[in-house]
Amino acid sequence: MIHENVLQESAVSDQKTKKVGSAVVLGGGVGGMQAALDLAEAGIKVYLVDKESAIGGVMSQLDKTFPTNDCSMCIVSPRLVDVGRHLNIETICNADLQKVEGRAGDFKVTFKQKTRYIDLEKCTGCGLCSEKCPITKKSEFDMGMAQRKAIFRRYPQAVPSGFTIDKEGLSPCRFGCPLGVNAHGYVALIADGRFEEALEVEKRRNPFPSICGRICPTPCEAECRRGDLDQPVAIRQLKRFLGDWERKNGRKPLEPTEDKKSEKVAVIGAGPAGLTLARELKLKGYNVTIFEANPKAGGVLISGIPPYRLPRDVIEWEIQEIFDLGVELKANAHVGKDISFDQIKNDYDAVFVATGTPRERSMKLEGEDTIKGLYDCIQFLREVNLENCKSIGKKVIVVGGGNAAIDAARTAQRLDTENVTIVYCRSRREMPAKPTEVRATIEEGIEIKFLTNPVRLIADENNNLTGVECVRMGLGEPDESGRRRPVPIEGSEFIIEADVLIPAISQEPDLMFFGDKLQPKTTRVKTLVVDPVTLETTVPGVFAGGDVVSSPATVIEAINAGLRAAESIDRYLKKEDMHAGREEAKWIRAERDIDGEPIIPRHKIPEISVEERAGNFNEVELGWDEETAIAEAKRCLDCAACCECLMCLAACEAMAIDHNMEREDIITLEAGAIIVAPGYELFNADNTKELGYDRFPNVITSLELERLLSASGPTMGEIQRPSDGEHPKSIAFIQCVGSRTVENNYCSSVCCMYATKEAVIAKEHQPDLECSIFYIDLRAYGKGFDEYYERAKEHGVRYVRCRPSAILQDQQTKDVIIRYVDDQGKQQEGRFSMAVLSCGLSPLDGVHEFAQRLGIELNDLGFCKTSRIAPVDTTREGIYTCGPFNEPKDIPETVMQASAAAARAMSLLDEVKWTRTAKKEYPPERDVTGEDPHIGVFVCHCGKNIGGVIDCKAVAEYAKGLNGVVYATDKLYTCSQDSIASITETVKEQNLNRVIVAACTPRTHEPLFRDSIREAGLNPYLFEFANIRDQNTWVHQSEPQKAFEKAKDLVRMSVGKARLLEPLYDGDLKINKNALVIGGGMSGMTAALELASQRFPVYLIEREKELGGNMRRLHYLIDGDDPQKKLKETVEKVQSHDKIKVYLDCQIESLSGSLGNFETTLKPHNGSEGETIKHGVVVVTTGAQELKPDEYFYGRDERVLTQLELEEKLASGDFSATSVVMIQCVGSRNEERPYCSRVCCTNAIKNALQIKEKSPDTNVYILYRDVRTYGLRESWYRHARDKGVIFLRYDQDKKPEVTKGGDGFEIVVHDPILHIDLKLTADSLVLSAAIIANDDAKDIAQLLKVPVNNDRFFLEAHMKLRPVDFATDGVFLAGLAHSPKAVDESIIQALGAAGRASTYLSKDSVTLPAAISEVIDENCDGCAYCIDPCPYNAITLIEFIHKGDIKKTVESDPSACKGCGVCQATCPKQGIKVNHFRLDQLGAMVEALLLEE
Amino acid sequence: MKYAYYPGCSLHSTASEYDISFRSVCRMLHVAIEEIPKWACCGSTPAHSTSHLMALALPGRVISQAEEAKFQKILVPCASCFQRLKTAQYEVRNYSGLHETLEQVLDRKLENKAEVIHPLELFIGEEMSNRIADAVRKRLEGLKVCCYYGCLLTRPPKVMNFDECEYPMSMDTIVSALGAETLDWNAKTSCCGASLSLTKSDHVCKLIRDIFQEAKAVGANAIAVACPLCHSNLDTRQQETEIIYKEKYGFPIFYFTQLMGLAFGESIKALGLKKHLVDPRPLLSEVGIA
Repeated sequence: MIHENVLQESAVSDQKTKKVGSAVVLGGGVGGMQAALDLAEAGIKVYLVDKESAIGGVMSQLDKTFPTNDCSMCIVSPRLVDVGRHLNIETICNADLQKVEGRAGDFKVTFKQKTRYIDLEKCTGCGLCSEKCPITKKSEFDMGMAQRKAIFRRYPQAVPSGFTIDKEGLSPCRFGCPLGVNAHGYVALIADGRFEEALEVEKRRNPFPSICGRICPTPCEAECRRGDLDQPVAIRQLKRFLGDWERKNGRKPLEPTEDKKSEKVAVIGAGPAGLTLARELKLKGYNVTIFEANPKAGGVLISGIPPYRLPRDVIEWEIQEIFDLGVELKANAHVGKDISFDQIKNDYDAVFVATGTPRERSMKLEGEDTIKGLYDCIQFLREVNLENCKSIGKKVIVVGGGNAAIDAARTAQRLDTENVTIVYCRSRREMPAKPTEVRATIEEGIEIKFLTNPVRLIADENNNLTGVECVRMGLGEPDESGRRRPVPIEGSEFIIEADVLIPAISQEPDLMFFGDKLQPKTTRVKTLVVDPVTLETTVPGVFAGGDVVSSPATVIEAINAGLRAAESIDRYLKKEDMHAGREEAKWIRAERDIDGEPIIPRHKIPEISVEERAGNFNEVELGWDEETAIAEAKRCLDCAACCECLMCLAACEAMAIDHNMEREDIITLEAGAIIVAPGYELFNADNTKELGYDRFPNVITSLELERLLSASGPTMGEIQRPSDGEHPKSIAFIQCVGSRTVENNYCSSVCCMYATKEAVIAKEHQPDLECSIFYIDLRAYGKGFDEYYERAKEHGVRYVRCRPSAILQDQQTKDVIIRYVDDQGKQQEGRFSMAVLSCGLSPLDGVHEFAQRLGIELNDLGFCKTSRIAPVDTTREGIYTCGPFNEPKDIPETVMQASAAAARAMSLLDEVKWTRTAKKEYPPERDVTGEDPHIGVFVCHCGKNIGGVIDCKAVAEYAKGLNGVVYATDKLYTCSQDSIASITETVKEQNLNRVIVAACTPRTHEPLFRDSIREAGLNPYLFEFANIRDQNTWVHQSEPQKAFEKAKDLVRMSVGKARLLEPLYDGDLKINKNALVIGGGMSGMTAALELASQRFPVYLIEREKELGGNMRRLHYLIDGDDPQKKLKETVEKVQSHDKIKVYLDCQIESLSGSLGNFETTLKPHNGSEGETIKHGVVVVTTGAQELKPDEYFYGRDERVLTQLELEEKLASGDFSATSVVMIQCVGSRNEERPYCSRVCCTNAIKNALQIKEKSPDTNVYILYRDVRTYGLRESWYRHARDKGVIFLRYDQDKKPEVTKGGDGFEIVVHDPILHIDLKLTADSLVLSAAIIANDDAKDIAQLLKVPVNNDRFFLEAHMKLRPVDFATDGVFLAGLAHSPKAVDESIIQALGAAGRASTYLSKDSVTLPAAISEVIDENCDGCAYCIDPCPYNAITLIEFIHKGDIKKTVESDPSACKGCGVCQATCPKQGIKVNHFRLDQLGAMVEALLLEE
Repeated sequence: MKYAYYPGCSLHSTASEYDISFRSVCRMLHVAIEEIPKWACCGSTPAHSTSHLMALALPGRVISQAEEAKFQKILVPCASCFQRLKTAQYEVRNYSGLHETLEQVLDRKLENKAEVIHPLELFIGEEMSNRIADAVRKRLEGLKVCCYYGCLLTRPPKVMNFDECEYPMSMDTIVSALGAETLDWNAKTSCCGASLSLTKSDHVCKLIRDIFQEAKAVGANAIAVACPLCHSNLDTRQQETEIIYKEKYGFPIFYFTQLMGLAFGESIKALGLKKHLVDPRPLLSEVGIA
């Protein structure tokens, strides 16, 4: 032990220094994607792991996003593409975290990955497989409101775009079948109306659907999950339907699978086992001969099973298929009599013995062999079935309880008998015969004497049977078969009259034919001993199967034996190992949840009436028509999802599907850091029973409404009531479902706004729709949110401040009824067409186990534990978090935090950046200057997407005739790996110098094709894309001819342009590694430190004489962290860091340049000469300030304080009061400043609690409009109320009135609930003053050429997805300068800005695309028309002296230009062009369009 | 194990059919029950609207008596009794000093450990549902039942800790296992106005009318209850309500134990079904149950 410890320790100390330049990001939502992209761009290899089959998270499911009403999918899908295409991001889906070993810098992360059963390398995402799949399941993506197939893609834009198979194991019905027939497969295909394919699935293993469809004892149905719900699916009857269908519609001849062979195989016995084997081996090319003692083939099928169950013509028709193959039958050939077994063994290469059990076992009664009137059951049935025996006697007793006994009794009943009695020693429950058969037997008038056993035969003097003495039986203890053992009851003997007795107890084989020489070993019960796997007897080359081995069993088992022996004989004759690879596969049984499935009764199997059955052998059960069969098949619950019908396999032209892949894989990844972004679980609305979700059809969740609103959703954006599909007249939104409750003591942060947005968008869809939002506090605390809320009210969205206790339903109309109290205090009963539950953001299901696997801690509510001052660090070093896993939050906060988490990981792994990343290497480029255009055109079918609408071959043919085209072809999937390789080859072979692909869309695929020609040594800009899918076959699906013409036009235009394509070269922009941070508050210092820890030199500019900003005035944080301690530590770190240069008391004079190369001149306040510094990026953290109010005696009475002033007084200990009134929203949410200052509610509560702690008797009143304690801050609101802080609401139009009186103030506030004015007195008045932008914000914005909003807060590049970037590359934003926010949020954004900046600084240079603007000096006369329209401020006017004259021209900054082309369109003199989209190139396209060649 | 049985005053008088049907069902399901010796009032309405202490002491005494007789579980079919016993137990557990006070007042030992359970809790669960399935002789097909739990059984949830407070399902589970169809409706836990039955009967009529209308709307032909007060209001005031509102309801009101008894093959008489004012027999014969 000691030794081991020492070893481990030394290993640990080695590891301490080791770091790995890769990271695992858990969760592929917006947070995970942002973190992955930031890390990969900064040189860290990323494994992006998601538990779903595609990344995208919840955002991909949303319809629109607030406050900009952008389409959620439209803004998220480019990001999906970026992630999917990134060379250094590996996406791993369907993966479940198992464990995390190691330490920060060097983790080993293990996942269990569920297989897709699809090779993503090969899958092109065409979707043909899905079309062929017969299984439909509820789509998770569409919240169960639409269907998907078992082979599916989560959503059309999914990344990865490949499909996945939903396979839960093996459906129970397949588990039950001894033959392993794929019942689920053919049932599913029947349900889909595809009978021929269903038959094919059935006949893969079972040659006899018509026969088994009538007599199989259906072990499958015993397993059927629907049996636990109502009754099992009638699988046997469906099988019979297929057989009947085949007989009616004719069958396709079987095709041999292998070539003809010379070997001969003999089969003894033409029963089901022998026939099956004969078929299998004949298909494999062997010569097969069957020896049968009876005149006809069929064995027990014709001799033992009565025709009323199995008509003879059915058997003959089905068996004939086998003889049609050329199997030879020697009928009436008794082996052992007509031909010896030795002879057969000599003449044939292998023998299969399948002679069944033709002898009845003895009853062991005296006189059994001598008394006349006793029939052996088998002999009896054979005589009736084969020899047309019509009469046996009058009073018949059948002994036994199996199917043979039932068959004998029912057969006897159909002869000229008087009565037939079955005598059975146990009770009905133990009877092995099928219950339906037993029922039919009784129906037909046969008496069954249960618990009765024959003990003595009674005969007359002629030794003819006259009766049977029986004894009554009782049931004792269970025997080895599990059935209770029958015990005779003494003295209960009685006599039944009878002239015929048919024992049907059990049968045994007759093995006399073997002779002495080759006698194989037998068992105690006279069956043959065989190898359990190969079915070979103890005599080599002699195999056996069916009843002769198993004792009497079912036909289905006999068929299985035939298949098994066929496989063995094939191997035997090929001299292969007969055992290899034949172990029983370990299948997993699919356990389907049947809760809530509707009851659908089983369809009845038609039968002829009892009267019609008498005296004949007509078939009793009848078949189904197609309609009934389909309806019954639709009862199948699709337990395993995928039914393995393999129709997809046939449909997949890319050969990407493999149903035999391992079910799951264990993957272990090396990662230096882990970012945890798994998101949240939408609160399960079924947990609030009173709201009726799941009971009332018209109560839906918010996410369901998102899908209903989405244009790509289940109703294509039409709002339909689930109950009747009608458009709703009114919708009620219920807020705080699963939030702000005793159990969930937090606010979900986003619901107020998403409900507002949903209401607004729903009204856009349907302007007459009435939307009412029932809420507690309207928490529109984010940037631009309050304005959005006000606009919603203007649009007519109604807000009702009431939390309804329950939702009721009008049983007739299915409207929902909500009782609530209106603002007049009156109880109202509202009726709405629908109710939408604004479900909260709950911690993930199984979050505790997940956290345990990660080795991180959670807080009491189940969210990831972090602190307000280190808000992305989990409790385990090297593991960072972002998004709602940490606290319920919105998209921008998640994205900020993702970049922040990425920044922390970058700092940790700084020295190993670029050690694990890949870089693409290309062959040297070929010079094509002066060559005539040699154009190659590749037309893509995109599976059926294009090829299903237009003739792609013809388009390629057409292209061949175009000027300059030397090669044209069509490809099934141009983007598949082999096609890409073939493009590269063709370029070389055909000496192409231009390439056109006519296919899907350049948006996703252009880089791939450019890459393929670059591989061939061609400049990538010699590629042109013709979009013939998205812009052609998709939109003109219904007009294929016109689409075909348009495809030709598009190709011709591309050829026209391609002739003029020229090589272009991407620019290479060197990046200066210095960073400038403007503003030395907490945000600025945080950003500076994070960048400095990645060894980037930082210039930190602070206007004041000391660092710290607003943080200097904070003394408490809501969760208890000490801000002053944090500030002190941070300032010390900044001041002592060798990479940070601090400039205090200083501001910016000027700033020029662009990404990578900025130049800034400083302006010290002391008037000295300002330094000029060069840097690659800028981070703006200039902060904001607290408003100095001009109301409520502020500034005129020292007892009136702002919250910050109160905090300072509390900290210094010179605050005391007996009654404090706090007024919220002073200066916020009014006409002048329509925004919410976000932090004031929390600050007021924080300070109120401080007061209460110091002096519990002080009365604290908080006068508020909405308490906006979002996220986990909510618990402090509750805490404050518990501590006695009194919250009084006021309305904006009835603001509190304050007068001075007595020793303090008198405050009158109108209570909107009681409808009375309340009078309060206070000796201290605290104003929660607004946060306002700095006075010079606009000046700084102008210097930086970045925008500010109406409230002078800086405006980010995109409110949702780019919250720390500006539209100008290389400039970033954090802290209060962006909008009011709390300390933790500023820290997050600052870290995020550092992370974003580092994506540039980590590179030595960035690539500038070549397809951008270029000034043509000789044409430009500096008119400057182009400057203002440029959306990127990329163009500047230049004046210079040329030959004594002042000349003007413009200059375009390649690092700023995005190639949009506005300048080219504006210029009247062709003085500026956009490469790759030059006017002559565009002109050539237009010309080509107008002039057909 | 034998259960202590606390019938309370109702089951010995106005709700005697609840008592006999409950006993009969217990017998058929092999549940051994025994009345708590010398039990007395649970302290329902009269006590708890006058004295807080008395309202706890009376049920405390019942629990103590059961414990003295070595019972570990007390079955309480009356919702009101059930609530009193549960409340006493909860308060004694959660408020310090109360335990001592009660023992002093009662002058007897109170362990407060015996588990107070309602028959609805007893009859659910896997083992019981197997027993019920085996005991069913006659499936109650044709009965469309609204299960009415009333306001007392589940509230307040932290005290009663019984089923899902706003949407209980235990009675539905049991009744549907008997072969009857149970219906989802709005009034499961509405108030029937029990304590106003004598003082403000017009209020009661209004409240039960709402209940009947809901049951009618979902197509019920019977209502099942688990509380003598609910039964009394829905049954005895039904005709009066029909007259006041000029509507026809005609809902037989069954104790759920009576439905169990019917399904188990017990006779109308043995289940006290003749006692109801809304005669259930026409319905039962109409659907072929009796």
